[in-house]
Amino acid sequence: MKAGEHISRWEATAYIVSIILTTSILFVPSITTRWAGRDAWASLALALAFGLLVALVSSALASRFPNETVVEYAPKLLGKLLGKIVGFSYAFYFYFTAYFILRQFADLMSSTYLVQTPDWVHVVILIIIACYTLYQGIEALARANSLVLLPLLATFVLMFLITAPGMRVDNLFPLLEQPLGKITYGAIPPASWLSECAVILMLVPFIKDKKNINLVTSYAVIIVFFIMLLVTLGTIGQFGPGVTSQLVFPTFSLAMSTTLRADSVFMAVWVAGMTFKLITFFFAGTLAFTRLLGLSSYRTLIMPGAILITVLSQNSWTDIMDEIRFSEETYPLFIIYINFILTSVLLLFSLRRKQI
Amino acid sequence: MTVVLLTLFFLAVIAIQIPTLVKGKNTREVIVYSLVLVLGMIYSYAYVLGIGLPNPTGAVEAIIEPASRVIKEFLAGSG
Repeated sequence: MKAGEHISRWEATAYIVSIILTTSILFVPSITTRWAGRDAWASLALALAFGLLVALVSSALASRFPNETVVEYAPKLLGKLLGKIVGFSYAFYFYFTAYFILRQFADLMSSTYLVQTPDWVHVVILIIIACYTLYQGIEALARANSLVLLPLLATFVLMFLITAPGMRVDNLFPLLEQPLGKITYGAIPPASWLSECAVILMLVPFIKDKKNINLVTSYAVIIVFFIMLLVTLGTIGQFGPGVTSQLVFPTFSLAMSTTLRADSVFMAVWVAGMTFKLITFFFAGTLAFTRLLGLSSYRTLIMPGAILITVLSQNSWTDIMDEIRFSEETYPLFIIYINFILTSVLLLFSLRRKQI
Repeated sequence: MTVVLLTLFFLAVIAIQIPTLVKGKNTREVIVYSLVLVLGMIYSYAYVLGIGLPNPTGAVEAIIEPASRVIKEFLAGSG
């Protein structure tokens, strides 16, 4: 973001909703249903509680350093060496998420819509848009995102309403059929996605009105929770828990099952959402490395960073099943470690520092 | 053919960006830029030539998966 660029609180909330929603919505219904079955709603309720906890922890930390990013104040809290290591962990996490998004985008495009087009074409187009936007500055992106978010949310609600007559309510009963352990395990992936609201640690210096930052993140988590709940109940109601747990892209299947072909609308807004998410994490990663390495401008790292995340998106997973396994078993714990555990440690150190 | 196209692409990137950076006389920026670019080039050529290289994703998996297995067995059983 250029110096002096600022976004409003609503734009920040919309931003966070977009970045969590666009990827979580792809896999959450099937991954959660695989473990929690028809009790996926209960897993989502647990995920909401965790998401709100991360929202409060990250906002509390961000509010203590409203004009700095986490990479800048981590060394002040933990000492130079440990602080730099923690800063590097955040920077790596942002880049890592960026190349994971690139891969998810390419996989959905090449397995559903543009099946004849090679993967790398989707990746290259998206990364070019991302680079161009970062060179221009992203204040305009935040504005555009606020405009796209409402159609995105409306699409999910509409999709639910259109498919509602075909849903079988008995697919959702009996309630609490699964043991608590499986419901909790099913809650981990959605909880981890909701923890992405911790991106506020990089965004807060650019928010104009920095009062009650916790409301920015909490509202975002609640909005995403409701959409996740709608889509999960919709897919279970429509296909039953058994089929839902086997679907590769359950939300997309739900959209395709409507007579109005809502999948094309879903795709239009989803592509925009993925672009925003990629740009946000690419920006956050580039900015984090820039501050970590003491460079004067993040623009220096845009092109080499783009090359690196493009190739890593291609050589990190063998196929889509490998990527789904990774989404289920590795990615959630990794981002919970960064977004919740590291952030909580930093908050504790900042509280201790204040007491001293 | 892919290797040639890749080489042309990298030459173009270097020709466009390096002179601007050198003109700015910021040694640190030139060094960081070059290191990240070289890393990207190594991974790109290895990918095109089918050579497997250690990958950060693999490192994340190696660190996280033991914890993931324990949590899975504790909460959801082995299934």
